[in-house]
Amino acid sequence: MSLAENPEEALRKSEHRYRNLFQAMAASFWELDFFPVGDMLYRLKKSGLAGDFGAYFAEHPEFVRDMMRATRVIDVNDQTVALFGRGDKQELLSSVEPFWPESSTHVFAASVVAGVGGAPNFSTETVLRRIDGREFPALFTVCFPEDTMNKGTQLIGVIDLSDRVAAQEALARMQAEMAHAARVSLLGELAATIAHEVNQPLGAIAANAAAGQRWLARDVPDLDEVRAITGRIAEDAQRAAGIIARVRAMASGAAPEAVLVPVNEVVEDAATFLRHEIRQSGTRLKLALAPDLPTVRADRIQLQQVLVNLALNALQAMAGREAPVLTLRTSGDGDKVVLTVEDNGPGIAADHLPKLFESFFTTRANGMGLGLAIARSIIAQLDGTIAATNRTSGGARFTIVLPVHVSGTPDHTKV
Amino acid sequence: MVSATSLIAIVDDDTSFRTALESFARSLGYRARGFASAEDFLGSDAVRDADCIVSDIHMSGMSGIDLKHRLDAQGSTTAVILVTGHTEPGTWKQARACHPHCFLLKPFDPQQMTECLAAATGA
Repeated sequence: MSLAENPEEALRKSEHRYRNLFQAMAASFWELDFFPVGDMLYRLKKSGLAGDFGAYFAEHPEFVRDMMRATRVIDVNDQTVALFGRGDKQELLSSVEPFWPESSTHVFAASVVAGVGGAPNFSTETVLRRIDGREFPALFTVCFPEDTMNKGTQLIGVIDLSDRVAAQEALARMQAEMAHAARVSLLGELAATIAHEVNQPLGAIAANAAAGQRWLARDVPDLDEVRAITGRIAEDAQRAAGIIARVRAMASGAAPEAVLVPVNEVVEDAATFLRHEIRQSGTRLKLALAPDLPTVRADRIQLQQVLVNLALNALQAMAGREAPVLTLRTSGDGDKVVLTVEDNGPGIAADHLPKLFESFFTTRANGMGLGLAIARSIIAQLDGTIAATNRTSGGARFTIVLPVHVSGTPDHTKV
Repeated sequence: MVSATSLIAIVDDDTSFRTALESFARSLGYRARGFASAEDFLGSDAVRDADCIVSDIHMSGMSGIDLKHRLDAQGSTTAVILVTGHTEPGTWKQARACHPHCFLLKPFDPQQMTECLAAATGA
């Protein structure tokens, strides 16, 4: 701005430049009148009801919706009309409330908390809604420059993330499909074991049924025997059903779902899955599970898959060796949970260590070489790490480190 | 009617199968004693008293096949019936190679088991 110009002219030009910029931006921009919300917050503060705005907003989502209704849309650029509207800019110039799906209420609340708390800006990924009701993933950015804050106006920017999210979802789908394929392959390797596991209760059921028929066919039927037998048949049927349920869960191609998982339970599930394999190989199983471990966010079946895979590798590595011991260990380490799978086999050859987690690397005749690659991709999706080392006392150790689930973050999302 | 005094020793680490087979043997008129491992059986007086041994093959500890070899080495002539839930032909071949009195798959055919027990106890 030149000093030679008069202030009104400078202001007009500045405003003009701003309007041009506003319109020319590739992103969706909104100019909002936030003033009534400031008033609501002032009254809330004075009422003493909300010592902490964040906590109050979390408990009163309706108040957050009211703040949205009180936030007026002054102006939007053409990009906004293209992204949110139906060609008519005027229908967007109401409140911001229609553009926030209920599931994103907490994001609006967080942006208010950031603004009130004096943050210079706030930016996050969220889901927003078009005027026709369709929702889409978006990067939401709001700046809180002091001068506009004092006027009660605010500028927000929205970038449509649909394409990027679609690409990420396609990648996640592909990874889930790979993990599923590896699970099916794992089940194939365990087919004989599973058949044996089912044959045990089936054999008992058949023997019990035959015995029951004999007891009934006696001149004086022995009903006490028959009563005991039918009870045992029911138990064995349950046992067989339990095995089938475990196998079906492993064979499931359902989309992975991240839930809060007690790690020790998954370790125990994996050990149950391999119970026969462990017993038959004469391996001693050591479970060293730390009590009171915090939960992690993971897909339970995928995490079990990783552990079954590592444990099966360990069993195969120890085949034919004296006194094989498989150790499954869990421990807490600050905001991390650590799982280790250890064997006392021959360990991993030094030249194999660097490519262990690569796809199609296998030392097994019947392995596809996908197990460890899939394991790494599953663990990476959980923001964790997996590593292999040789133990100083001999044998291999695989270590998985997973972040502890922090309360306050969503506990149920697709991965 | 089979001999009511014949004793069948049943060796299997799967409790429910062992219990079922005990009941089956008793329903046929035999006496039956169950053992959770080959070691338990070998340490009992049933080694001497049993008229027939029905053993699972894969158990934690000594296998049914090793048990048969051990009994052979001790000069035992007690009939051994081997049973398994295993589905691999490799296991079946190993089982037959030690010449058991009978070799049956779980779930076994009751008629076959009845005949095996009758032949083993000389009834």
